Amino acid sequence: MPHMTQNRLSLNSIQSSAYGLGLQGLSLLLPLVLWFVVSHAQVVDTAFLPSPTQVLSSLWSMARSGILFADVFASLQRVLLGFLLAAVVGVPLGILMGSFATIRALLEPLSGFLRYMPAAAFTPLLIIYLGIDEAPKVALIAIGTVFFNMLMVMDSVRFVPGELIETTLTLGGSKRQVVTQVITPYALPNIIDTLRINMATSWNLVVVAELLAAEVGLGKRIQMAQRFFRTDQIFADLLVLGLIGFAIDLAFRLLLRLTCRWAV
Amino acid sequence: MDIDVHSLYKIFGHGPHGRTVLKNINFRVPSGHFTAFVGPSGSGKSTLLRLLAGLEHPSSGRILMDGKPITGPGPDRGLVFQNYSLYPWLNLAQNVAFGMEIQGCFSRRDIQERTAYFLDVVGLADWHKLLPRECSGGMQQRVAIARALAVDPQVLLLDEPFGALDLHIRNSMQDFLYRLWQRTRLTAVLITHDLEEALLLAQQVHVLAPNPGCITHTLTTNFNRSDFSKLRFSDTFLQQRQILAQAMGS
Repeated sequence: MPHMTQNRLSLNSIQSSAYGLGLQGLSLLLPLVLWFVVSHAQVVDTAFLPSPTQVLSSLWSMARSGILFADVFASLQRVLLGFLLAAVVGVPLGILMGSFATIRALLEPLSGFLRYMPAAAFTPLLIIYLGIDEAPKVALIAIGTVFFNMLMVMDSVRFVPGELIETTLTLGGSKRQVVTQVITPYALPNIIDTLRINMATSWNLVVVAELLAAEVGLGKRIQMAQRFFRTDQIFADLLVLGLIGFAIDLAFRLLLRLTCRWAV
Repeated sequence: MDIDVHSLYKIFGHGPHGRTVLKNINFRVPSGHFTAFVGPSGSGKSTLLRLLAGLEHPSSGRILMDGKPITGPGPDRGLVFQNYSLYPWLNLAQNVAFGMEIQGCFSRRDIQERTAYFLDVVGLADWHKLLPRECSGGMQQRVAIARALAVDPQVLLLDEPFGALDLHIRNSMQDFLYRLWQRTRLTAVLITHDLEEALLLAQQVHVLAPNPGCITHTLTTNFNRSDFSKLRFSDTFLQQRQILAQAMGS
């Protein structure tokens, strides 16, 4: 069933929404407080663990100089391009693999095999083939995401009830119509959820991609900061990476709610 | 549409591992007649209906519709499953319209009129904007029937259509289905394990015995069907029911 918010197992329940929000706030607030306490108690050298205020001021200075936005823009662009490529290729192939046994037999072993080759290990080859510009970075993200897309979309297509497909055939539908007008809309909530999960993979890979040869980018900035022992900048960039990822995740959840009201 | 089935066999698997599910099935459903098959689980009754729908192919023997062998599923034979199988992202009206939309040979106006008409026939005109998950099982099954009828089939195939409904709703749905059949005079084939349901609705009832599935008994009914609630407890009805139960037990 695509009804992801229903039938979810939980051994206890949250009585009020305020209580739930409180718990969720606590999950973010508690580490923050801990960080404050540890850094102000000077248990650890500030060179290793900068205080939250140091990190914030570093963030502010990067924002003011414009580096931060250049980095965010560069990284986002790479992620979105690579992710889009992986979605445009992976989702239709996944749907076809889930729908037709022949296509599944043709592509499943290959993608299952390629999925276990770490994307990062492709970097030397990508540099040889594509140079050191944006192309190898985008390709790395796409390669690291596309096989997960294919296999996970294929699996969600298998949840489409056989009777729904057979009903469509007896109503006069062709195989093509079954794929485009029954299987795809039925699997859409799961496909959006798959993309949400695999966006995290793309987002992780951007840091790896920027380690090879980049002028700007959040991953690049972290690497430079290490060279100058600027742990405050590393912390600041990590925070930004996490926040953007979190925002993208929320955007996908919103998309699911807006496009698939029937399933949420 | 006349349905003729001649020495039909269905074997799943091959060679020594093959399992014969249907063995030497012969019957005829004249155009406009209502026929039922009763049998315990494992008697191959669902397989038989899937063969009539064209979703399975006979291992041997012939299935003829008006003298022509069937080659696959088609809109001339509407199918209704036990679990409704509505499109969950479409509202009730869109579900009814779906078959006409994908066929592409109905005009927009036709689709609108037929959708409204069949929603009205099944008594759901006021609920056309609801999603399937907002509806009861009985409502969903009525939509599934309306959807099958909307593409103008000549045969209606029903696979335990009311098996998932509770007793009270099942009784009213049997009433509904019979009146609908009287109105449309479609050729209808019903699969059920409910003897009463088969006797109430069908003019001819075949008993399927399991392992391998074969017709062991055929009963022709001739009741006054003006009032189901009376018919259910009439002597002749109960007698026929007992005969069927014995035929199934032996």
